[in-house]
Amino acid sequence: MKRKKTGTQRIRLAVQILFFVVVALVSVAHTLEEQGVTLPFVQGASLHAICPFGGVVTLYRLVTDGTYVQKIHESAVWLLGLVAITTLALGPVFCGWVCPFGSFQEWLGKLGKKIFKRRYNTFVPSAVDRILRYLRYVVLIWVVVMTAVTATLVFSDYDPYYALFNFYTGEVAVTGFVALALVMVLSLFVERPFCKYACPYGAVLGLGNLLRVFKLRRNSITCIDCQACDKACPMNITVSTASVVNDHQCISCLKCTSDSACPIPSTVEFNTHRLENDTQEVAK
Amino acid sequence: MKIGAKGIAASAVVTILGGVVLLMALGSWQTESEKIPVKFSTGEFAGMANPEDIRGSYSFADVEKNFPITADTLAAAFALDVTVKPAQDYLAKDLEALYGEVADGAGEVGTDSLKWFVSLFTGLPFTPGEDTYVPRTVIEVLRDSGKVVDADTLAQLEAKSVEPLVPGIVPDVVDTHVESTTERVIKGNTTYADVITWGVTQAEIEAVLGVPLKSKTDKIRDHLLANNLEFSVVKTQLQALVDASAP
Ligand code: SF4
Ligand code: SF4
Repeated sequence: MKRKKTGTQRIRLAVQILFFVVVALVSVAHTLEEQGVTLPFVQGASLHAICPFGGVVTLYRLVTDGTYVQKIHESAVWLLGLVAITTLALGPVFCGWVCPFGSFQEWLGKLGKKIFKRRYNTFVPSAVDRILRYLRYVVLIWVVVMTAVTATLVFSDYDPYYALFNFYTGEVAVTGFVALALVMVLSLFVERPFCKYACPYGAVLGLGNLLRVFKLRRNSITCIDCQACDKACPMNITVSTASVVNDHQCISCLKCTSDSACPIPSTVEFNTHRLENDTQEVAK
Repeated sequence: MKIGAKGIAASAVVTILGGVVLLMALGSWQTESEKIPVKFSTGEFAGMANPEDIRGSYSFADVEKNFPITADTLAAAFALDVTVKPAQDYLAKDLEALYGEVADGAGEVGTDSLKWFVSLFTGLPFTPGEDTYVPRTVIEVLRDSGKVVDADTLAQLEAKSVEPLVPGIVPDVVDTHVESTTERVIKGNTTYADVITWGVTQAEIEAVLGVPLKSKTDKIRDHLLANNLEFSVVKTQLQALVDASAP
């Protein structure tokens, strides 16, 4: 029995495209506004103003002397709050569904999948990979400390995301372009390399996986141990042995769930309670 | 309770996009810094806005909001053409672009000139730099409105005054002054390359600017203007570096 289950990922793709377009429009509108052209319906704002990570780095300043880091505005702090709500409820939905740079890497990855087929996303030896996955916390600490010390956006010079959406403005540092090129090339081998190894905001949101209200659960009673979930996971998480996926790298993409990869209905899903309870009740 | 793709999609879109729309409707969505200068914290003027903190990005409307002075008065004082755009829409940094370097490079009409004028008009303290100049119309406005009557201040202004712009003509800033590299003084047409030949490293310059230096042949003032940085502030810091690396 092979069910066609593309609906879930189609919906996710639609949301990803929506946010990608919104961010691109806002970014272009901002550049045009600086040149005196206003687009209808789009209020231009600099990319810094609509980046929730800006909210993270400015928090220290905001708390200690009530001001924002250069170029960061109230909007970034609001976004930080809104994203925090979704993260506490569902984990890093922002990464898997909203972040345009995550989507960009994922789309490049489709090309990588065409080239390498099943070998795609398996090149990094797991021992090395496991250690590298903590690198993004090092980046996070560096960014937060340096931003607090210098009160300027230290990360934007190295931020491939900023480089992607501002490549035409002449505001991007060489290091930003190097980072972007590196991420693009790596994306052909590894799915979401920046998310996995470098993104400081992903590092923050990843902690949401330990707290989320809707947890990613696997029903150990109905599971047939086929490991389809493990193979589907872009973040290389082993779902097939966990009863609750608490891995800090999960991006709530639903690829492993029974609505996508898992062949058994209601076996992997986001749920507030243990799935085994349902099975036991049915058995009674 | 289970949540699937539709539920997650709805939560993400409603919370994030919906939240932003709601904040916009409530007027709390600020993607720009609020243009409120710091206030004097002590002394006779405690609680009043400090002209010193007027930034290049302030419009005349922002100045009007924070100080007892109208945008029209500001436009008149600096002889700006309000048929080009309304007085409220002029930015402090426009002065730098319109007047820029004056008196053969000895000084400049820019944001500091605006601070100076606002301070004299409102009676708030501000000490202008040696190189801060004002157009003659500033003196006329101050005198005619009875804000400045004492002869000393008027004489000081007189000594630092230049011809106003002719309304209706927005002049291109033409630099006629030819740089002599033996002078080691940063002026409006000094390039980053000049400063580097005077012994300051690119890294030092970037540390002052806070933004990367893309083209060393850029004129410092034009580059700063394009990057929303204030020439007068950066110039002082760079000049200090130049002086420190004197042979
Ligand atoms: S564990 Fe599932 S939801 Fe989490 S990233 Fe992997 S596939 Fe996506
Ligand atoms: S895909 Fe479903 S059945 Fe297969 S191992 Fe994962 S949870 Fe078990």
